[in-house]
Amino acid sequence: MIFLSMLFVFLTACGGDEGNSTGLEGSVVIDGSGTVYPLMARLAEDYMVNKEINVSVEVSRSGTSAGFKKFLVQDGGTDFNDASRSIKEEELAEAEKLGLSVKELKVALDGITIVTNKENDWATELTHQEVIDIFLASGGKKKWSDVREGFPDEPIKTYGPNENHGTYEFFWETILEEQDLVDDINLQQDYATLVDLVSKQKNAIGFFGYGYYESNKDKLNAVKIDFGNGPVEPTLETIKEDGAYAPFTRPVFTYLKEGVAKEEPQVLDFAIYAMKNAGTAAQKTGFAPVPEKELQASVEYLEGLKSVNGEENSSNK
Amino acid sequence: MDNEQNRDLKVREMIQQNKQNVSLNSVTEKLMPRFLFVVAIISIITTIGIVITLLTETVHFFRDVSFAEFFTGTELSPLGSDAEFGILPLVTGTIISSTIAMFVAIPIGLMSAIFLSEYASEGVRRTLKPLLEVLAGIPTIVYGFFAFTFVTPLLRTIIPGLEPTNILSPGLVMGVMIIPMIASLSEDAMSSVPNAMREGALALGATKLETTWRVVIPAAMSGIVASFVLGISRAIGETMIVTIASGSSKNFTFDVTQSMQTMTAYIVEVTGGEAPAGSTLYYSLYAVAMTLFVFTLIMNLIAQYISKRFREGY
Amino acid sequence: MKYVDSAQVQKNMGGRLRTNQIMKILFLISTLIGLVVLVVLFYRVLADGLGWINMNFLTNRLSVDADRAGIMGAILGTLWLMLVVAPVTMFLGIGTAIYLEEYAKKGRFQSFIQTNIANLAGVPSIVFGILGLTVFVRGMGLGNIVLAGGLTMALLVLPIVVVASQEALRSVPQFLREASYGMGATKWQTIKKVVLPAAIPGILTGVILALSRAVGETAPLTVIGIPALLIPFPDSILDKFTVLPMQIYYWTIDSALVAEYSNLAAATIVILLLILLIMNSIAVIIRNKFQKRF
Repeated sequence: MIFLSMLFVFLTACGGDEGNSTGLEGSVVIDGSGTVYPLMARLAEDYMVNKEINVSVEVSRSGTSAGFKKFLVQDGGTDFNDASRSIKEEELAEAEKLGLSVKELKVALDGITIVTNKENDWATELTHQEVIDIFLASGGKKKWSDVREGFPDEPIKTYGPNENHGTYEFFWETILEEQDLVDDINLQQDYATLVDLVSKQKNAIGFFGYGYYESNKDKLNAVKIDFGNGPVEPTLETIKEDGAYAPFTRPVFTYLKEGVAKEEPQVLDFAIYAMKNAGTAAQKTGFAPVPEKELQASVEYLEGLKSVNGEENSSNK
Repeated sequence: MDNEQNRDLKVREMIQQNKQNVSLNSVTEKLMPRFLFVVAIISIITTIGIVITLLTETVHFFRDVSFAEFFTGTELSPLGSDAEFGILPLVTGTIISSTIAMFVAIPIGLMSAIFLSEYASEGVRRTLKPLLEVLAGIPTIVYGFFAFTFVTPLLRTIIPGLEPTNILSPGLVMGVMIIPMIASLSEDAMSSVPNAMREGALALGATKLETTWRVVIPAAMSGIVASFVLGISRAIGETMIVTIASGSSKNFTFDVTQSMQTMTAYIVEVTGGEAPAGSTLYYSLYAVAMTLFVFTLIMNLIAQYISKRFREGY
Repeated sequence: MKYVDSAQVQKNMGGRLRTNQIMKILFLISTLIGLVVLVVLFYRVLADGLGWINMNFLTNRLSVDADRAGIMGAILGTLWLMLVVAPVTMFLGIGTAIYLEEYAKKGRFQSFIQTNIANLAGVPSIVFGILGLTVFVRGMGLGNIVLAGGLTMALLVLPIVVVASQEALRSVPQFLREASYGMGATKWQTIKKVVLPAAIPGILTGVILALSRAVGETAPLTVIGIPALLIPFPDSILDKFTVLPMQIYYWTIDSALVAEYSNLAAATIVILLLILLIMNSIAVIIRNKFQKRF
């Protein structure tokens, strides 16, 4: 018993955090897209370490759709939902029904990268249509040799993120135009597993956000896509706004509950910090930055929410 | 005279005090058994809690999914619009991984037990037995790390068709993890066979091996078999090793070189994506957990029954 | 009556003795297989992780960057968890053991509780996680804080404490109790002042074993929900937390993304094993030093 009380005293003494703080406390809960996760995790960590140590920012990565289900709840739920696709009609309707005012914040630009195994030296570039056919049930491409003459006579192994993920949805809706995926595709919840599987399977081909390719260039190849004007390699340059990789590029977002931001200063504070630093953080985590003007507009909008908050607060305190 | 009187006074004081304390003491004395009874009941409440928790949500599940689809369905695709909830892929994953584990643990565990109990000298036994205990004390997450970072790559060089996530590697590692359990319990069972029986056999001219095989093991059989059953139960309930090393493929297959998912790994995956409360996906979590619980409960009851019923009395 | 054909026996003896020798070696090898795997495991873990252990690693916060990441948060989380598990499981476990050994009448009810404890011991740890999630995290609305995780773990390791405590109480010889009654002590006084003190070494060993198990368990906590990247340190039992085994898990599965995570996982394993070694050594010391001979 003595030991336990000693332990208790030790822990409470140790627990005090040293770090920067302007006195903000509380937590910020973020969930959603696994693609956006590295960006948000970076922003969260920088925020906590450099600015507000007493605010606990938690970032999880259940997937865009799974995240929305946790976001759109009556009481509680997450404060932000990261999304690698824009919010759907039915999700907006749900938000309205629950009385939640949701603000869309564009945080970065991402390019869907088609990745292959390091030893795949035949499919270094494919046409837009070939990529679609490989992943379509109706595409009829079971073996690499079906895609092009001279490709190996081996079965194609397809991989991708599962239906919880916005990346999956974007790929299916926009690129495959909502046609059925080939039925033996191996869908995974974790991007780490996807990277691992493609990097160890000679005949693999998969798709995910550029960031996960960029940090694993030593294990994976990115296929150059020919959209009609010659093969384009996905790079930070080409996935920029109006870049050559445009058909496979998409903006990624985070959605904020305005009500929560007004009531909890730390949530609003983090939102402003995130939008101010999204540009630099994007490049560090494998995204192209959103044009500065748009980021600035977001920051101003959020600051606008603050003054409403400030007035209410001063009257309470 | 004075001293004696003083002593008497002191004793009298003590008796006075005791009389006053008695009332408090007798309250404590009466209440303590009741209080401890309540404490002991908590363990029963826990079991009831587990059963109720699992049962209520499983009932919800079976409102959405039929018994037939769940227990005989070979298609498990819980996400997406056309969700299917057949448990057979998970059951095969669990059974195959446990079987592989038992193929490793039973022979090695039993042979180790035989060595320690029948052949090893006291000194050797005293050194080796604690080392086996160390194996038992290693957290399963460490075994999971080992399976994923060392065993799988090693096996992939030997078996070319082996997928990066497969069921063979964690199965083997689970087996190693269970060896100490089988070795220890079997050794206990064999040690409690009286020496008189061994000596009788040896006196008749049997070799040590024959004595062990024909006298000791049959006599200790109930304890040995009980240890096997407990080992299987442990393998069925193991989570981290298979979650890390075996991936999350829900294909219904018997190919050990492929990725498979066990019931336990499914639970980890679904809670990781944190299914929203009230969805079929959320209830499937409980339905699978219920199945798992029933499996292990049956195994444990069998083990207890075997060790009690067939124990040879000496 | 058949007589033993000594010539035949003589012929067979050689083969039988040889088989005996061969099997003896086989049995020895089997015993050593487990140890060989143990050695290989330790070697791999040390090789991958030892080089990454330094003061920074032990005191830094978690980070996305492998170079900056440290496990202080996980160490504190583990300690906070123990702070909940230890008193709860001691209270429940020792109490239950005292009831079963000293007060309960031998009969159907008592063996019912015994069987129940044995069954609880065999329930997979992940099912305890589901119990904890439903009852503590969601039912009582605690969320994934230390208290919820601690209560769940306490129930998981309860059977260990009960069984060890029962054995310790059983090994206190009856004459001690009788001497106490003879001097006029009541039952509870006897238990409190005579039996328990004598049983403390065995009980403590059981508690330490239970805590060792709780320190290394991962499965129930994955169900309760531990954030993958928790940067602030826990300050109380009402805070969110992470523990060493969870960090090992997260770093292992993400090691495909960042190769260095594998080293971090290995380094954390080394620390975890070290902590377990210390705990188990304490248990052995207690057992050896304070074991009273009656």
